[in-house]
Amino acid sequence: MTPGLLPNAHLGFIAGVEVEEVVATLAPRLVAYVLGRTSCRGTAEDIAQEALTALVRRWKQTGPPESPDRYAFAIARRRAGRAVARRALLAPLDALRGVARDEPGVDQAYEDRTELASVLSAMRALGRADRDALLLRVVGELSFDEIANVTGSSPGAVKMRISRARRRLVALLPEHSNGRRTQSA
Amino acid sequence: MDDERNLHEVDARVRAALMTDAAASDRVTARALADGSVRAVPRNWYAVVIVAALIVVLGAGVWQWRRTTRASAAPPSLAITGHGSILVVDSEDGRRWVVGPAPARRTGGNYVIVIPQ
Repeated sequence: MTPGLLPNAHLGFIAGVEVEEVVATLAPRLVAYVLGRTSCRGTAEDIAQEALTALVRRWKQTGPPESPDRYAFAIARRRAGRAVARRALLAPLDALRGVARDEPGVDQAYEDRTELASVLSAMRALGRADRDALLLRVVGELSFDEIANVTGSSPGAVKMRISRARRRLVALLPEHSNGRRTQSA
Repeated sequence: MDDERNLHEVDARVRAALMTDAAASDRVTARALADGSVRAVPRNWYAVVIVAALIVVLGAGVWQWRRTTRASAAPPSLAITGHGSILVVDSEDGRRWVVGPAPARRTGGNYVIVIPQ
């Protein structure tokens, strides 16, 4: 693109169309990633929205980042970590205040039977870094290099973590056939 | 081979379980685009507000400091007592002045007569 022909492209006049496409592509992946990290759909949507809002603002102010995926996932990753830490911190207080449920309600009992619950349960058994790398790869669809950049490690280490997490999940997840799952062990 | 297939199946299961519905994605996308289009308060404004607050705090501190030093620089109070025609002035810091009438002027003895032998 010749800068002289499109002098205002960096201000968002041309990029305005692109940013919508990028945000629409990123939204489901971000929600899925944060859902895998936090196990809470509401939190996942909130954090995905915040990360995308930050991306849109950045895009309109100074142009698109080098990698919009990496930019949005880095923000979502930080915020998901904070949300998990905050929840872990407040859990004892909630229990003291009686906010925590003593027994699951009907909705919760139904959800527990779903595939999502079994996947989330298996994911929770993984190490934090392994789970993070696997989620960024499988639902975030980031490359090994991008994951390494976001998590601050090397591509080789990322590959190793993902491989280990996959193998662990195979052992952890109950068998699944014809839409109904069965306990494998 | 079977192992490889299992690994891919795990990926597919994780993806299928976590992927959200289109309505939720559309909602997130619409909100992000709407919020992102609203002009955010530039970072510079935050810096200006922080600097202004610092200046106010520093100004208040300097004013308070000067006020206390001025108070401490005030002259100490004096206690004046009289003994006849003599006044004794006692200061808080322990100094004392005695004020009285000038001593009587002695006459004579102010000069020497030298007689050569």
